[in-house]
Amino acid sequence: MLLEADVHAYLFLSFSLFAVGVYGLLSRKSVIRMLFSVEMIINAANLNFVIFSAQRGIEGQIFTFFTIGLAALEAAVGLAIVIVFYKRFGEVIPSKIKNLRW
Amino acid sequence: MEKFAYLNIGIFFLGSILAFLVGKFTNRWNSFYVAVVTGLIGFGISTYIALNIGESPVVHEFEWFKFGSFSVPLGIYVDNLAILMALIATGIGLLDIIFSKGYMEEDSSPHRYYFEKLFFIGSMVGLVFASNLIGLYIFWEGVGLCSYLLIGYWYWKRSAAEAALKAFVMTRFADVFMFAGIIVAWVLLGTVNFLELNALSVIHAFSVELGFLIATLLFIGAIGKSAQFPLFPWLLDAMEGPTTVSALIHAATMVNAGIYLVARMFPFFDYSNVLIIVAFVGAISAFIAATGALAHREIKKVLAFSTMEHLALMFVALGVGSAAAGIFHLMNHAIFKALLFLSAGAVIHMTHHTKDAFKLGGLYKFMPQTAILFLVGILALSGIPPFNGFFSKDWILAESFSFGNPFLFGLTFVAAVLSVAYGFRLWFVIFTGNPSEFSQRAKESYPIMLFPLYVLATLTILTAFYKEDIVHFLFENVHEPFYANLFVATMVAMFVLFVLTYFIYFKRAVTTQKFLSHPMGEAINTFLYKGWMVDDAIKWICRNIFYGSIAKAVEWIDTKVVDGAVNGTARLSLWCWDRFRKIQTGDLIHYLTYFAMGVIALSLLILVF
Repeated sequence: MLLEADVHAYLFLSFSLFAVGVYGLLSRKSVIRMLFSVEMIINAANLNFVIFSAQRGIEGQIFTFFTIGLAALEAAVGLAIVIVFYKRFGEVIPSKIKNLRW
Repeated sequence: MEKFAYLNIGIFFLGSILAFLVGKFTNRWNSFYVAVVTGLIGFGISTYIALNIGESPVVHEFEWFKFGSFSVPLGIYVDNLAILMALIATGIGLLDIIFSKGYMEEDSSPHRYYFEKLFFIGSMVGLVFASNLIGLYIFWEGVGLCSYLLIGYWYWKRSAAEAALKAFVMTRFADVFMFAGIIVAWVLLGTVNFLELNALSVIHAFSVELGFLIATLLFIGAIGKSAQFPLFPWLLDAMEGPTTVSALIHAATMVNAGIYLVARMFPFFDYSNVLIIVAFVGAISAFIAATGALAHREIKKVLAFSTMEHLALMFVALGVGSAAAGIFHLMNHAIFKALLFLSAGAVIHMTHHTKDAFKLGGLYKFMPQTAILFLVGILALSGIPPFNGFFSKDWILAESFSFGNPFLFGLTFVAAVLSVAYGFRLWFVIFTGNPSEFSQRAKESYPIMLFPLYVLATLTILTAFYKEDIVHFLFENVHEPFYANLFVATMVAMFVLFVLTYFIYFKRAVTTQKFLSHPMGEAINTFLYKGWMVDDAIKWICRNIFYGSIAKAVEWIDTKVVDGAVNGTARLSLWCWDRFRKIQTGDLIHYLTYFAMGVIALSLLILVF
């Protein structure tokens, strides 16, 4: 059983991780780095699962494994998209690729 | 008996379709035989009903359709008046159909012609047999439609197409008022049946004001159909159609419908104090028409004005309270005007469609039989004894004299005696004098055209001798006023006018050249020629008042308010799109920023509330 204070500390860590991820997502230009930021957001969520399951004594960690699996898949698909992206446009900076614009 | 009445209406509609199909798929002139057979059967049935009608009228009522508690009645009511009208329509219609065979010999689509003719006659029979205003209105519109089709029969001529349109629009304008009258009667009096309306007015079941409103609205419809002041200009333009059509419109069908309506609702009009309006509209129309006929050059237009004058005389007779005189004159007029129009048709046809009377002349030598028959018509028109026009016209004059209004009587008297002047003017100009190049090529009309003329001429003379029987058939105990001094005055005035006409147009002792060359004289002539400028006045009113203000205001509301709202919606959405498209940059980072901002805003909202 985690103490109340520990939970707060862990949650603060999780939130910091999330905030860094969001910041990275918004501030990085390269798609690769944005994918990294997404990983950080996902891990912040994972951390929350772990914290709460540890505090409440329920088997919530299992979701963390699902999420890690899904994150791995997402990374694979994302990287594949990035490669296609690069092959097609010669770069991986999304702000320079605005073909979808009206 | 009511089966025969329905059959009498139905046979014409059946025959019209049959005539069209037969003419379309076999030799096109076969439609003529179908039309003649239909006309004969129709006339036969009418005669049969007339002979067997007995004392009580034929009445049959049924429900046309029902919608909840709203039920629309229809039915037939055939009394002596209705059957007389039907006899006129079918009898003269039949003669007209026979005459058409000669007149329309060069026509390429007689099946269309006979279809419209039979439909016209059928509508008229339906109109006079209808027992209520709804039925009358249906056939009233049927007659209007057929007049439109027939006036514009030569639709490739621009003038004919325009004349048809004018007749249609003008009579329709009047019909709107009539329809309003029917609605008011239906809603406020609860009935549209002629008998019930008349019965209600006899027992004073409603206020005079209400009756006045309804009767006036109905009378405006009658003005339009019967071409009275101020809605008559269509009648002159209607002369663009074939002459046989004019004969049918003028003698047997459409224009008589207005007279019939007033006569049918006579007690109602009497109770509502509208008869005085009827009389004055009639007197004014008669005067305008009689003076206008003096100035016109075209054979048919003189006759058209003459029709208008005689219809106006009938309205005067009805207005001063003598339905018998009006209806008797209607019958006589139908006969001699059919004779006049058909002989005019013979003249026009044989001179290769020369309508201007002053381009003809000396035709007596080339077509003596037609000339004599035409003269019979003119004599009847002028009201010279013993031709039938004399008996009814004199009767009307006596009635209007005994009514006591000097203005009304003066107009009526002048109009009535002027028939002599324009009638003989027309005859002298066409048949006497030196033959023109158009006249010299003329031959006597074909027997098929002469036959109906002889029948009509015989009737013109015969009906006078059966006056008592006919009037008694229509009305019980009619009192006919007689004034010896009035009779003498009429005869003297007519004689003077005849002598004047004789010297101007037969002897050519006095020419109208000098009168017409003077600017004043020319102005008067143009004024009369244009029917007292009523047509121009109507056009001016339409252009300046209806088009200039009302239509402009409506147009402004339509373009600015209605269209403005619709266009405004489009403009608003365009404006929104223009603003919102700015946020669609295609840049992933921007989208993410919005997304993050949205999430933060939502989180804040959840935290606060």
